[in-house]
Amino acid sequence: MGTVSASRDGTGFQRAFDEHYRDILAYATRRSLAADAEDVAAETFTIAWRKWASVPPVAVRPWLFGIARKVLANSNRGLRRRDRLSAKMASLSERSTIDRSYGEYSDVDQAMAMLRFSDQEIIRLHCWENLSASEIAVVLGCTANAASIRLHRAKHRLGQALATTSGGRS
Amino acid sequence: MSTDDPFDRVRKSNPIDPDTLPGAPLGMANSIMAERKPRRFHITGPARGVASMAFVLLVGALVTTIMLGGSDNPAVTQDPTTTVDDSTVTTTTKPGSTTTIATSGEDGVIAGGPAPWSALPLPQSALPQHLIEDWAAADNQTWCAVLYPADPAALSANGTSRSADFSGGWAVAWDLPGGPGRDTSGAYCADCGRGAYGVAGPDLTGATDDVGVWPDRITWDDGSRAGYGLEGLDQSGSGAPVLSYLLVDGQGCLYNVWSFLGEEHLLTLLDSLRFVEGMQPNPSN
Repeated sequence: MGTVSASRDGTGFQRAFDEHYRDILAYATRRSLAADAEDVAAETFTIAWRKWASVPPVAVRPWLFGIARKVLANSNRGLRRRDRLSAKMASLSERSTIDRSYGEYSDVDQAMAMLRFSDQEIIRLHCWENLSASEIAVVLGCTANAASIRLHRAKHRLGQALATTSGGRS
Repeated sequence: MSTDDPFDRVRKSNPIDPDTLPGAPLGMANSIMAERKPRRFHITGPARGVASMAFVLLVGALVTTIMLGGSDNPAVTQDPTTTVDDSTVTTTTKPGSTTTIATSGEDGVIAGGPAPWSALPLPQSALPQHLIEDWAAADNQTWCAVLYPADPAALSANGTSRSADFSGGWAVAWDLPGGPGRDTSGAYCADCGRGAYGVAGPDLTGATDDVGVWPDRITWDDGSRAGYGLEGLDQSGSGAPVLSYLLVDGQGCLYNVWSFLGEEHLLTLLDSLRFVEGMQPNPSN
C-alpha cells in the first residue's frame, strides 16, 4: 500500500478504509462473534484514524491487522472476564460463528488445534490474511527475519500435526 | 506424512472470503474521521514525547534525591524543577546542576547528537573470530557494515558472544548466565540467558518507514535513525526484549539491536556501536 499517504489526510484514510475494511472484518469474524467482529473492525479503524499520522506508508494493511489484533485481544480479555463472572465457560472456538462442523477440513482444524496459539496465529496471518513474512513482522512487531523463522518452524510443526490428524491424506 | 504443502490445506480451509462480507455502513469512515474524542489528560503530538521525558527525568531526580538521603543532604534539598520547550527538556535537581535532553522537533523523536559510529572504527582484533567469519560469509557484506560495541565488558561482565542465526546476514548475540533471554524453541526464559542482547545485520534492506512503527525514535546528526520498543509492541509484561530497528547512514540493511535487559541497556548498547576497520562495504563494489 505504498500509495496511501501517511500524512493526516482524510483521503488517504478513506482509501485505506475502502480497500481494507472487509479484510479487517474477515480477520475479526474468523476469531469472534459476528456482532463483535463489526465492533472490532470499527474500533480498529477508529484507532487507526487517531494514529494515522504515524502509519508506515508501505505497510498500511499489516499495520491495520496489528491494530485489529490488539483490539481483539482486549475484547477477548473482556469476554473472558465476563465469562468467569457468569460462570459460562464457553471457549473461544465455541464462540466463533463459523460453522466448522463440516468434515472436509476437520483434519486441518484438528492439526491447528494441536499447535500452540502463536503458531496458529502466524499460520493464519500467512494463509488466511495473505501476509508475507515481512508484513507479519509489522503485525507482530518483530523483525522480518524472526517472522520468517517463526513461520518456517510453525509450518514444520503443522506438517507433523497434519500427518497425525490426516494420516497422510492430501 | 503428506507431501503436500501444509499451508495449502490451511489456505483452502479459510472459512471467510472477505469479498463475501458486507461492506462498511455508508459514511462510516466519515463518522470515524469526524469523531475525535479527546481523552482526559491525554497529550498528543510533539508535546507527548517531551512530556514523557520530563516525567521520567522528574521521577529520576526524585529517586536520586531519595538515594542521596533526602533532606539530610543539603545539596539536594531544593525541589527538582523541569522546564520544557519545543526543543529541550531541562531538569534542575540542585543549584547549578541541570540535565538537558534535546529533542529533534519531530513528533516524539529524540536527537541523539553525533552518531556513535562516527567515532574512530575499532580494530578487527577487538572482534570475536566468529563474527569476522560470519561477516566474511554474509550475503550482505557489500552493503551492511559490521557494528560492534566499543567496550563489550561495559555491557555485561559475564556476557559471552556467539554467532546468531540471521540467515543471509550476520549477527552476534551475547549469552548471559542467569539472565533473561530466549531458549532454543524461541520461548522467553527468565534465567537461561540465551541471546540476552545482541546486534544483527540481516539480509534485509531498510527504509525510513521501518523505524516508524516504533513508539520511541532517535535521530543522529549523520541522518542515521532508530526506532525501538518492546518486541511485538508487547505491553503485557511477558518478558519481551526491547528491540531496535536501526538505519545507519550509508548502510543498506536494517540493523536489529535488542536487549532483554531493558531500555537503558539497549540505549547503552546503541551508543557503544562502532564500525570496524576493514569490515565496511567497499565503495567500489
